Amino acid sequence: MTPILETARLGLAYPGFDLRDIDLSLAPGSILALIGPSGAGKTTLMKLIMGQVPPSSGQLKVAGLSHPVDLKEIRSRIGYVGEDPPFMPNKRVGEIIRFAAPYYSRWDSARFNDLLREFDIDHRQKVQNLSRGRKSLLSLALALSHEADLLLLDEPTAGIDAHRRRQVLRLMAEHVADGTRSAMIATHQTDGLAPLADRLAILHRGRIVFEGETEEILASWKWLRYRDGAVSRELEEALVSRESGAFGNRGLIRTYPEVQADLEGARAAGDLQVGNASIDDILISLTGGE
Amino acid sequence: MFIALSNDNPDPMYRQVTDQIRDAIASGELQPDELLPSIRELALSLDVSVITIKRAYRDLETEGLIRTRQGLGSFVTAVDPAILRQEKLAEIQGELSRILLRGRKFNITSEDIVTLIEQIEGGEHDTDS
Amino acid sequence: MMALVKKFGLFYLTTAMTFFFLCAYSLAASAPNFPFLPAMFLPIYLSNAVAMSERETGDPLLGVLPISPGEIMKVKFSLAFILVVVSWLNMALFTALQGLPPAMAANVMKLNTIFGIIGLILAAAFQYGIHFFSWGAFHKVIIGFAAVSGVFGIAFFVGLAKKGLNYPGGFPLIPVLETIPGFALGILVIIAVALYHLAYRRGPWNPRRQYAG
Repeated sequence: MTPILETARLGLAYPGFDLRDIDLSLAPGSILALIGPSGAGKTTLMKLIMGQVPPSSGQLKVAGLSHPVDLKEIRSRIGYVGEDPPFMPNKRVGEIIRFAAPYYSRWDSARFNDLLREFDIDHRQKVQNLSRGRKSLLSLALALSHEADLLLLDEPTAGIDAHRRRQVLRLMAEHVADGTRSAMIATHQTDGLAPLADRLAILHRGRIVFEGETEEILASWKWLRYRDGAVSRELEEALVSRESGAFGNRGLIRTYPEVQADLEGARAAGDLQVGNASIDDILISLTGGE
Repeated sequence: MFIALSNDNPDPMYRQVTDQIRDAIASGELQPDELLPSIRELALSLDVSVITIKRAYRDLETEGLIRTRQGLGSFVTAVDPAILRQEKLAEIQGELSRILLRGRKFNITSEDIVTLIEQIEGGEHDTDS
Repeated sequence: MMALVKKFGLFYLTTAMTFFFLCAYSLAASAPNFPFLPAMFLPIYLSNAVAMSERETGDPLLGVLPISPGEIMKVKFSLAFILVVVSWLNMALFTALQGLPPAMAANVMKLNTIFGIIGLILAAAFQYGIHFFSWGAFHKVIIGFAAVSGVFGIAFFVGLAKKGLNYPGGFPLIPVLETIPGFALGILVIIAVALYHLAYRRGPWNPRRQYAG
């Protein structure tokens, strides 16, 4: 199956910023969580995919199509929610949709109206009178209403309360659930993300420092809490984020499956406990806690 | 069918799903030829990605526990309960070794553990009668 | 397409109407320097229309919707072209209404045509300028240009009025215009329109190949 999104050595360089060697491949049905500190390049990557800015190196394909010649076709297949909701303040919601909808051949106005109702947004409201969160939701409603093959969500839950946040993630999952569409979500609010996103890419200072299956990374990175002497010297040295205290030692291991068998003894004896690492733990470890 | 996934469980999500479906088949909760929920339905109700469920179903199919018919869905195959029983025994054996190992620290022997088992069963008989 | 025309068209429309009413006013007031005055101010009106429509070009939705930069430019080039044509027709109408002797009317129309050609060149140049230098930097150029044209125009007329020269008979340019044959100007118009179209077609907003790796 053609990947919905494919990049090869993609990059954009300008003074003070350098995004480089981005290799991604997003299969249909997949959800990729793009994680990284602010300024890492997540938004820039999205802009490249949308064709808003040309790359300085590498290639990018959406459903086999390329910018700039296929810009219109590509954008018609992408549901994009950018960091800043793209609406002129003085316009009314209804006006905006009357302008935008005809550009999408697969526009579903029933779906759009349902979403507006769910998000509590009225057609007659002016954009400037909507809260930041509602503007984002309007952006999302637009993105979900034209049968997009690819959802690109850049911090879609900023300014949104926890209940609506879950709703946003749910809507994203539902949109992709038929197995023919994909989503890429850039965020630093990582809770609830792990089970939904089957792939994870960690971006730091313009480079990808990890890209792979979420399950794989979560299976490899574990917290070890252990009594003195319960683990070998060698292993202890390999741990990151190490801490020692009155109640024992703690450290993060990156290669758990390889050492799992060796640790079985200590575990059974009650001298060692294995806990799951959160995506944030991994992110902080890989990006130096910035 | 009841499936509960946990973030605290060290096993990956897809394995939790396969384990629980396997258990349901072994216990008879899922009957042979019964239709499993669609990948999409299960993914949405468990709040996990479609890819995870796809993988779980694929693994179950490789094991021969389910079969997928294009356009119809996934069905439980008729499995020899003896095989599943064997697998469960192996699992319990692993858990018992861990318990034995833990007990050794406090000089708890295998005899002590057999006594415990008898006590537990005796207790169950009491409540039964 | 129509949605884009509606988006940008309003400013070109108001500009054309302003032009129309200025001509009408000049005619009604029997101003001696009509219709040279409005013709000379075409660059200013054009600058104004381009400048005001740029605000709508800043609509962030254009960066999300499936609209190619080429489409947007096609509309802008078309609207500017229509404005120039409409202004020219406007001038033709009022020249006829003025009841000038035929030879003089012909000279006036030649002058209008020259300004039309200048208008087209300016419109294309503005769009290229905005594209290469960004609105932030370039709009100062457009406004500067409009201001300079305005000042020059006014100074020119004040100077003429002081010398007691009337339009069109006393205009210094008229002898020059008489020497230019009509059909030569016609050919110039065709070339100008062809170049204008080419300027749109070959612009950076109509890329014909993929980005190189």
